[in-house]
Amino acid sequence: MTVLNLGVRCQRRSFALNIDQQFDLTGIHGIFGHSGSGKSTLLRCISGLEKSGTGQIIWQNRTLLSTADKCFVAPEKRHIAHVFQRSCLFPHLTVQENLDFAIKRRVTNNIPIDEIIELTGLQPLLASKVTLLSGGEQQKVALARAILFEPELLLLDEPLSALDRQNKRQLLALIKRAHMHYKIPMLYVTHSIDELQQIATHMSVMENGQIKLTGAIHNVIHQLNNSAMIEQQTSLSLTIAPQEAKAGGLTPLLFHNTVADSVEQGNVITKDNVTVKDNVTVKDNVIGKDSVLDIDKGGEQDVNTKLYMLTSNIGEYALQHQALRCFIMASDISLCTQEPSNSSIVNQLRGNIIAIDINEHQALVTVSVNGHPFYASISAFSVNTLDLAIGQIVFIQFKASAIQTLLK
Amino acid sequence: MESYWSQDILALVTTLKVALVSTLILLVIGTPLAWWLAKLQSRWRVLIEALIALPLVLPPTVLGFYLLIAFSPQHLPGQWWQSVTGQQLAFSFSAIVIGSVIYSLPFVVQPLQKAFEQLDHSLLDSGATLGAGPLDRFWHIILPLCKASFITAATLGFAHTVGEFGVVLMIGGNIPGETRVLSIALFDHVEAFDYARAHLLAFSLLIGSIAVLALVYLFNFSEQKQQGLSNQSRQMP
Repeated sequence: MTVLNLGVRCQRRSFALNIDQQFDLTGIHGIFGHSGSGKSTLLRCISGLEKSGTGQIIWQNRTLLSTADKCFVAPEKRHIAHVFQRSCLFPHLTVQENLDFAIKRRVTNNIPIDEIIELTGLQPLLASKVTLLSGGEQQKVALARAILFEPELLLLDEPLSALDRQNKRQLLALIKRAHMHYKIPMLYVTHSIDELQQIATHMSVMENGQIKLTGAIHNVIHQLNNSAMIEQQTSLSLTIAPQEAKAGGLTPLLFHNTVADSVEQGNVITKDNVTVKDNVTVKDNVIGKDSVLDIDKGGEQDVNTKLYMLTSNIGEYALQHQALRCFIMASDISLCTQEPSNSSIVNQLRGNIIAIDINEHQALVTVSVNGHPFYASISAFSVNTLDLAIGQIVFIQFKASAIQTLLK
Repeated sequence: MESYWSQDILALVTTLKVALVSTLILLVIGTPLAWWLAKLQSRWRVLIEALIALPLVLPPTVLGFYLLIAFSPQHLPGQWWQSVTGQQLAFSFSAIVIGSVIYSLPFVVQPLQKAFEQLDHSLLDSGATLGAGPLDRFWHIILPLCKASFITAATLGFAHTVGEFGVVLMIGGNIPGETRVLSIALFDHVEAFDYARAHLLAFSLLIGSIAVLALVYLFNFSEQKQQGLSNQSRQMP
């Protein structure tokens, strides 16, 4: 396991950084928080650029900072690369020379230079002055430069926030590819949940210099649904259904039940207290966790376990890997107490309500489908009209176009 | 007649020697001093800046007078110098170099300090996280980025030392080959009513100064033009 152990304090004008946390950096770990929450200061402490930090930082059994032992490893000796929001390329050098700066100073020699240049598509730009590049290109060079340094750890501080959507997508895919190919541990700081949702396996939420929440990506996002920090959404890992033919511009997808365990903690999935409406055709009379999961386990391709997404929304990267991260906005999901028929809405899933959170006129209803939570934002009025209750069987529905992804 | 010529040539050589040595010392002292001042956030900064800028407003003869007293064997700096080198400090080549360094210090420190203040420090952070230590960062990031300011500082320091008169007159005396510099030679010619020679020296100094400044401005202009161009194209959609 790749572990970063932190016990860091740092006094700032608007907040005090106070972190005691062990980060598992096997996958990409995201740090989410609003500006001024201390994310950047935390990264600067880790790379050693912030010298006023106290406490201790241990990276893979190597002590980088220990105030008690008067130990402070200078940033140039940490082998931790840092990519900033502004690309921070050396303006007096060309693209090639910027890359060479990192290559000359790297300690190991495993990552082939040509491979990175090809991956980033920088070949035609190598001789250009960096000041002549566009924002997206500059950030690409900065990323390539950091990867070519072969850092033990790569810190990404809002690397995409200055970019447009198109460039954001490209660079996100690039970061993910680099992580998969070269296994560089990455700590990714951002105030954009979309970016993390796409690439991080774990994430932590920072507020006022402290970590408020940490865990597996989908879990944390779902827990944030009840804070005002993000737009309410369902976060999913999907696999492109193998033998299925794509028809009419739609692609069938299967969703993983990766977060089932933690979601069901504390939420009762009722087996008894279920009202089955007359005109709803259900396979079993007893609806609950076990029976629904049985369908899944039996490998039976039940209609309910499949999702349909616009093929045009699926990127090349997802097709290559047959897997993708998606999100569905809570406002795009509606509820039905009866199985809807003759609807243009292609995604209809049967599940049971496990939570209803009413906030003034708006309600967030959590529906467990095969153990996976889906979040629907409906009006409090509808909750009353439909007489929704925890444990009730409902059908959630959303358009194929409601399944969104950022990576292309 | 011939010796007259060679005297002027000797003065020219002495002047260039003084200016070159002073400029080198100025860069070595001025660079860390300017860096330190650029980063200094204490309220003492204003005082130190004022001290360095003093030669800009102080009559050179005043500075020269105090230096002459300090350099004399009766006073501590002069005594110390004599005990270390075995030679008298006042009226020596070393004395006018020291005088010149103090006198020209603001011309070197000020442009460097301004450049260091405007330097994008995130570039240094970036360099550090790519494995570049402090000296590495100086040679490969700071120096190339502040090249124009270093050239300006060196040129101003050099030119100012060449044109220096009051301080040298006070502490250097007029020893040929040692402390007799061009400006003093010029003064001598005027005193001797040798206006022809004075004209020649004055005119060559004038042309030399214009040439040096023109070169510096030309260089800075082309740098700016380059940067301006790249700024423009960056703003293009």
